[in-house]
Amino acid sequence: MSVCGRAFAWHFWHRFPWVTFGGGTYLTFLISAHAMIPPERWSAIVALCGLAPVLPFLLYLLMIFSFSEHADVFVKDSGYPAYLFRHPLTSRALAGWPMFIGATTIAAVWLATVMLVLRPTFTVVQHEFALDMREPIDWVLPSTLMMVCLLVWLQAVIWTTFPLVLLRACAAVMVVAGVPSLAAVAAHYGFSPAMTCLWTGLSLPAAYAAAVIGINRARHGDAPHWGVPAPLISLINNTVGRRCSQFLSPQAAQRCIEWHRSGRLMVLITFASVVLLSVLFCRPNFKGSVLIILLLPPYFSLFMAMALGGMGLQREQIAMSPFLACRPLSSTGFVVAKLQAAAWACLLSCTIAILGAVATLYFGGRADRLIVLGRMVAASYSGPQIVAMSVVVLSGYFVVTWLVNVQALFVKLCGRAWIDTVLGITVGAQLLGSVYFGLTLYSSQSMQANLSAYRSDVPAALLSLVLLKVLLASIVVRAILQRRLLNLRQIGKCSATWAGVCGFTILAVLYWIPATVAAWYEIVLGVCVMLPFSRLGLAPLAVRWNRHR
Amino acid sequence: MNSPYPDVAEQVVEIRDLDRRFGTKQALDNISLTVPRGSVFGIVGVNGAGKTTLIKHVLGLLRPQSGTVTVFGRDPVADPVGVLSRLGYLSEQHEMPDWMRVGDLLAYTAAFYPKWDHHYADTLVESFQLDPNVKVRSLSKGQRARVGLLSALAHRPEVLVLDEPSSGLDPIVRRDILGAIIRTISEEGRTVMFSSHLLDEVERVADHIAMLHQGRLLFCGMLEGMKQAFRRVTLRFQEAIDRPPRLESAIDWHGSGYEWTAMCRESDGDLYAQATMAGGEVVAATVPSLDEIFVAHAALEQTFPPICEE
Repeated sequence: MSVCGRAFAWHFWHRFPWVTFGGGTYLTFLISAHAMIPPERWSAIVALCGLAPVLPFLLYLLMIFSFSEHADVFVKDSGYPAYLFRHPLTSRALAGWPMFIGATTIAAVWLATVMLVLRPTFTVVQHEFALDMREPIDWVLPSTLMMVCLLVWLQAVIWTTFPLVLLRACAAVMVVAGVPSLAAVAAHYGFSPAMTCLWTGLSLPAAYAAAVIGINRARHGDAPHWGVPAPLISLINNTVGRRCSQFLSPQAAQRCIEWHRSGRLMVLITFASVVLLSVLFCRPNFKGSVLIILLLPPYFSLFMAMALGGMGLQREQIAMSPFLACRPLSSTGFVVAKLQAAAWACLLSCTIAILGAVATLYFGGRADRLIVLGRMVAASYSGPQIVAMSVVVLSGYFVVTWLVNVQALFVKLCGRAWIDTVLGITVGAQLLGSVYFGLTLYSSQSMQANLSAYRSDVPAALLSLVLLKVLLASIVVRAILQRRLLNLRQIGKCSATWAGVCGFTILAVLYWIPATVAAWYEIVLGVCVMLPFSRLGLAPLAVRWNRHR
Repeated sequence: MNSPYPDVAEQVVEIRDLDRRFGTKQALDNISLTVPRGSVFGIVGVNGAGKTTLIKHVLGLLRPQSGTVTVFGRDPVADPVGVLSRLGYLSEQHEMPDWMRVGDLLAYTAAFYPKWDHHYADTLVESFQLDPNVKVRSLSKGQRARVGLLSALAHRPEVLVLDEPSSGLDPIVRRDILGAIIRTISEEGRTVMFSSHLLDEVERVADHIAMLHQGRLLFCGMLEGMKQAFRRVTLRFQEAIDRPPRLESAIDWHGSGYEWTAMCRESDGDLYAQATMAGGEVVAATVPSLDEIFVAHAALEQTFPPICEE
């Protein structure tokens, strides 16, 4: 490797020493596990422990090598660090070395994982899951090339300048979702591994060329720009300028910032996705459930929660911006503004999804099903009952979307990267654990017996969770009162609202779910566990902690 | 002084035994000072002396690790709304939402202050030659500073806090900022607290001063008092000497051979007697400029106990 390559390698390894240390520890652990555990004793549990860190580790490597840890996908400028442009290097070297080092590292980590964990695991579990992994070469090489392809295309997208603001975000989503999807589609339609390797391998030089051109333009300030027509600018100036000429309250002003930060983006993404899916679903003979359109708002609100919790003016800013921190608004006021902006965004997104679903059914020639369903409902229930049911369903849909959006608000509001990381890893591990637990239960031959055993433990587990929740809630309420973030009356109002929503949800669930599926006390306990109280209560405390560091 | 705020204390900011540590670095070390109402209080010190950290404590953006900070008699961490609604703040970075238009930003800021003076804001927009329809991201550094200054001034705050307000700005914007400070103090009872290392500016407008060095307070009090606390003394010797003599009160020496000039602390005894004892003769003793005092302290390895005027 040349001096330049060594310098880039040094730059990566020394800038993120913990990643180097963590990666090294992980690989050492895998090698030790592989050497110490004989193949016949290798189990899926060991594999899960071995595989749990690999996904976040690979994602972290993608972020590091694409320099996207501080890059903003919502701007037109290149995300390549500007200080590197000043080095006496060609654009080919600036693009090539990070690509080469990143690709080599990711391929090495993936191959090590495959050889040390996946191969022995598949040997054990393929009978249980009916997997056909007899020829590792068939899937090892394509999957490795796919990882490399994902990295280099992400690098190209992050480093290129774009003529419009949202184009990079769209391109990044296309790369992150598109590359694995293409590989899956190729596998589904029976393309040979050689063919998959060929198209993946051929796309690498294209990504490199795109990155070189992007870096070359960025370092010379030669960014393309698609201008907005002057009459449109004038129209925007007049309308938007008038709209924001005066805010009724500090809350309204702060809500405007929050709406701009995350609310409108969620509505726009939902709108674009609904239109796209509606057009797809309206095609003749297309087999797809309209339910997917209705699931879009809760799905997007999960991702937009990360943007909603930010307290910086720049996306990469973790701590609360002094500009915001110096506003004479209470920490609770900041949280309320966020909750309100999220409510508006969720309401609009849900409305768009419902209208999109209805339009898809109508224009897709499936209106007759809707009419039949409507007649069935009309025949079975009275008018007031239908209205009540509609209110329950629509408000439930909106509330679920909103809760998904705001329940983890406190994590970002803390303004501490380490909390974000620790909670992210914990949630990821829980998710992997749940998936593994579900799969094990599903594939086990004594599933019914196990299920009954687990089922009998559910009330006790739910009761423990409710007691834990009450304990946490009392601690949070005490902290809020001590810091005078809310007074006793406001806490009472919040508790009453929570109790109201809880009661309403319990009644609705009791109405819809038959007693044979779940006992009433299980439903009551389950709803109490699911509806967040402490998590929302933590939000003002988190803002305060972030604001007064 | 005929203050419009007769119900409140004469000290708008009171800091007692304030300590702040970032990791192993002691950013503020046992700082105690008060900012009198109606004063122009300059905080000076080299980069990294702790000026911005001190200001952040006043704003409540940092929580005191030990000691207390009160503004208008209130704790800015416990009561941020009560304190911040009476303050105007301009940061060094002129941080503001880039996507907003100037008009939107002013409307946004006005919403937080019931006492926002729209007429005054319009006057400032005109005098600063700002276009309300221009986006903040397309403004120059000077224009951003003007927008920030306007946002800090238009609600006519009781205390105007400026962190390195004119750092890196052209003379015209610096003139605007100094003009704002002068306007603010011309309104009775209002206070300005600002940090800077442009000492000519500080000397022009400040009447009180706090000098920080490596997180420690070297001096706090009236500017004139500070100047009187030091003397620039030129000594002449009968024979040429290689190194300056040991004077208890000297904190910095310049010169060579027969003539040496020292920056001396007035409080450390009789300069003339000390000079005679050292074998020299005082040929000139003048009041130093703030710049000279600052440079002398910046070069110091040893630290002296602070000179604080109550």
